[in-house]
Amino acid sequence: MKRILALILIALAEVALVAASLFLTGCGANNTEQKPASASAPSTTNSSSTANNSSPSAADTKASQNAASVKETVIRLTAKRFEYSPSQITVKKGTPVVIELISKDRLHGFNLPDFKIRSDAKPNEVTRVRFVPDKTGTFTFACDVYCGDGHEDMTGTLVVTD
Amino acid sequence: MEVNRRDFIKLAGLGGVVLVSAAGCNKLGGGDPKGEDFYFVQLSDTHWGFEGPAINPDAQGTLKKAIAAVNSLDQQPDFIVFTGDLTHTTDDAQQRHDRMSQFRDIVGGLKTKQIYYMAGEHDASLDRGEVYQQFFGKLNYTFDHKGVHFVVLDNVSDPTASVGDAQLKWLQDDLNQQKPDARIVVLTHRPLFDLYPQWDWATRDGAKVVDALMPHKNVTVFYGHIHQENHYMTGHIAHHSAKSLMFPLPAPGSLPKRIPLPWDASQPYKGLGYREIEADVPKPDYKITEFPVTKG
Repeated sequence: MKRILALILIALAEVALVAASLFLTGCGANNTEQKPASASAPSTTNSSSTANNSSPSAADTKASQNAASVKETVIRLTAKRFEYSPSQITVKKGTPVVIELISKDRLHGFNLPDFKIRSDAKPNEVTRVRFVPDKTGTFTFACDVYCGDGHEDMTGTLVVTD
Repeated sequence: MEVNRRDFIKLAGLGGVVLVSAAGCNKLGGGDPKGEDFYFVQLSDTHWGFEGPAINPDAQGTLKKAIAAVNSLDQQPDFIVFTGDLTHTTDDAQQRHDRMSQFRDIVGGLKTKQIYYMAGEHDASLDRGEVYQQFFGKLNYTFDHKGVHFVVLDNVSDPTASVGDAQLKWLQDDLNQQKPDARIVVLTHRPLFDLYPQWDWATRDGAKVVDALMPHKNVTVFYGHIHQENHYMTGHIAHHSAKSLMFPLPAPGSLPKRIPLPWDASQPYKGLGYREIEADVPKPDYKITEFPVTKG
């Protein structure tokens, strides 16, 4: 009986740790590291089985509200030689953004120098980039992993509005 | 030694030749009593294999014209450097091999036989420089000439545009052998500073290279990649980019896209040209003179 009680307590402790982790990582930290998914998004980081290679739909770019009541704009950004889809992203200043990067073919990069953000875009693996845009304007992001004749054209635009 | 102005103007007609010269006793010799006056020619971004009549209808002829013009100089340079993107990129390994072979044959026509090559991302980023090295040797190396220490850095064979820790250590070890006032010239393809990373005009760990060079007071960097002249200082270190021998690119951030500037039939080779740089030692003070192509 004591053994069963101990197992239940351990399980409860693990649930509490996971909940705390989700809360902490869903608060819009301004970084480019891979992080566990926020409470509102599936945990697909480093997971090929759940990666979605389909073209982003309108649902991919709509704003969603997570359980911690932090509004996040979640955007699925697909990279392939030699383009991003969508090629233009519009977000709001001050609203946390999560860009879910995935490549359809090979390793690409996502470099957004105006916000000092860069990440790899890997095949069959979602990499999340979180940041809070703190200025309005139109900014260029580009592939910074050389990918062939057309690499120079592989750019996109981030529009940040008030 | 004197390279006359007429020779420089001849070079202007080829488009994309950069002439680096030093005049006067011991100008580039920094600390070496045997240092002699010399000059060398920099050619860059020849993109052999590029096709695009709207961009350069003379794609097959521009490099050959440049070589003929260099050969016509009254006094030949001590050596010639090619600062990367010798060939235009291709996914086809055999085609890459063929382009390297054709390029090597063409530049074999240069009178000056001392040639130093370096790779650009078009040559080396898709296969980590495998084919390039078969034709042109090491990706990074050093050489000394009349009292000047030249360092060739590879910031392209890693497709992430990184120099990498191993090469950084190699660089540091080499620099440790140099006196603080040694004359050092760095030759590379990409800018070592963040010129315009929105267009991938940067080296990811270039700041580490600059940090390593910083203790040396006489350092100058010559590079290519951006197909236009650009002059920039990181502290006391000057960085000078060269024009292309295939097509010019717009000024950093001046257009929404980094696309080649179209050929202007009324002004052939517009945007292509050359510059002369004279070193004035003991100060690392370079006199730079620009010549428009129309004077060619």
